[in-house]
Amino acid sequence: MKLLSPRAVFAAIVGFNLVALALPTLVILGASFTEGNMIVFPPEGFSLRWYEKVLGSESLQEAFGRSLWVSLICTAAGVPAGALAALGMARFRLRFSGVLQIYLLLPFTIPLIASGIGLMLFFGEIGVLGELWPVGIACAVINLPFMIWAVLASVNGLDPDLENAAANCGAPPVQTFLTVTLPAVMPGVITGGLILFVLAFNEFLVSLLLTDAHTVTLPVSIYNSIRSIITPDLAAVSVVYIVVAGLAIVLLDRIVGLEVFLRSK
Amino acid sequence: MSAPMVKVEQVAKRFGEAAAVADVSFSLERGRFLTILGPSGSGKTTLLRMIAGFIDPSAGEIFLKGQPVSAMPVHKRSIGMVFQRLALFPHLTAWENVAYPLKMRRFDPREIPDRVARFFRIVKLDGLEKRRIHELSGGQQQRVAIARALVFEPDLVLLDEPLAALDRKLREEMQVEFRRIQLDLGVTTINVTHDQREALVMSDEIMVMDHGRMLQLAPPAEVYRAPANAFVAGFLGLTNLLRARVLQADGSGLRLQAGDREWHQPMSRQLTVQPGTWVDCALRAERVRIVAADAGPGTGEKARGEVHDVLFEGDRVVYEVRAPALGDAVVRVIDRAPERHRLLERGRAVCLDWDDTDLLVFAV
Repeated sequence: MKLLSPRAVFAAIVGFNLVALALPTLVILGASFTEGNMIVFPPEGFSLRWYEKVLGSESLQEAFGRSLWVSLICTAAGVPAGALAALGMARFRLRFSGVLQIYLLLPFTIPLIASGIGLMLFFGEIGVLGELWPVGIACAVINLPFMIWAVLASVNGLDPDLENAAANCGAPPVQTFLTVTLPAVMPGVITGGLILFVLAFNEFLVSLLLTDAHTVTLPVSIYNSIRSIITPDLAAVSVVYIVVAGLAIVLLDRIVGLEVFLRSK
Repeated sequence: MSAPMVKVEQVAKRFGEAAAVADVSFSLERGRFLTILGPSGSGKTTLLRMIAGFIDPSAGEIFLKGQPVSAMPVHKRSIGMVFQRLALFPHLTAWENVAYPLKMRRFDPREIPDRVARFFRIVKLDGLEKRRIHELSGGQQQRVAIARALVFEPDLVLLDEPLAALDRKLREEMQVEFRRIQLDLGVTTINVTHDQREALVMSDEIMVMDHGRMLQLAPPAEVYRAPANAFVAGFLGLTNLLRARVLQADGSGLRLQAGDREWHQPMSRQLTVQPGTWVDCALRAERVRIVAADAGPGTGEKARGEVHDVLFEGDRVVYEVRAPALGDAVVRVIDRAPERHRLLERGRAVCLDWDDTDLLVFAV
């Protein structure tokens, strides 16, 4: 019996992984172009009618707008908090630095349903439950570890003498931070910011707990429709999601270059 | 009488219990080039960083142009520095890196382009202004770092072993070139290195440090010819160090013993040692004469031995000779004209000889 060459085995594994990774996307993409009334794959015929329906749907548009708003709030709150936390941890030899690091990464280890209920109780107590902005804050809180990681990766790659060099060139501390430290960690900040944005845009569980009928975000709205009847417009909405995520990646590549992101240690 | 450019007065730095720098004092006149030479962990970089202001001294005071600087933050000191890993700003171009200190130090914006251009010419990088740092070679980055440190014409420039990472040929070129620039601009410079050749080539003065202490401060030729102690003698050049016992001491010299050999060592300088104590004898490898034992009479002989190893380095040969009579010490010998002599092979019996004045004796 002739053994398969290692090259062929390798190619087969890579091929399988690529298909497995792309399959859900391809299925949903195909299904969204169907002509029929059922969400099926392969699609029956080709039409853009479900896109038309999605784009015409006022409730989906509103939900999309709310998700966008939540993402913006999450990014605006999470970027400075995460970036400063990461810089602080890396730059100052804080006491309990290890404990602090674990504490800041804690949201990651708690099941979303638990933090969601906790946040729901908290926002209910201070009487803001049902408004939209707390959803953004909640997303920032639970996704903060991603931001901290992204910036830490950038900071740890920095030469510690960079700030000394700026001071030596005559830059006072604030100038040093603005003209050297911040630009040098910018790739990490942008990466983290885009991750925060996309995660908040996609966030389902916490949104479900914190929103009501008037403030549903896009994922919650989709979930609500699945419970009644599954029509291809859901596939079309999902494609909108994929496009948003794709745009984020393109943006990342344009601004910082994907190789910076992939290289970050 | 103007104050010296730099004056360091009894400066010490302790990290917890350990003293990184202990009680160092020196001063440096305007335009001079001082190299602080020492092995790693000798405290030389700590001393340099205290002068730059990155570390506060535990004791003592540093003066720049007669002004104490302990209360002066880093960015207020007129000091340029070339860092060990260069610390160039990665998000800026070469030009922006060099212009950065001028902007921060509020130079007239109309003057900045000409000044930056002049320093690009000085470090021979004209044409590469628009490059980003990672688009430059190691040697070019070095030049940007040098230009950035010099461009605002600081009172003092500090070099923290910036050349250590370069390959040997490039490093030797940069040593000569930096020295030329330094002399042209007349800028006072303190360099830190563990490379003895760099110290000898570049400096007006060398300060040898070990374990946080200053062992000697003198011009290169003096440090080489008249080392202050056995450590300095061993650190510069290829030096044989031999421990010997003092049998007798009088006005004319010492009677010493090492292994089976006993000899009278005339002393040119005063050294107070008691009989029965130990001394270190330092002997430069290039000061030892070596001949084959069967070459016949005609030369003196201080020790016999056997060639243990031969290192042919082209312009010179280093022999390692095992000398049983000297307590089985290995004596290294440099023959500077190997093309004129036949190489002595391994295992060859040889005679070693040197002038009494070339043997330097230090109290232990």
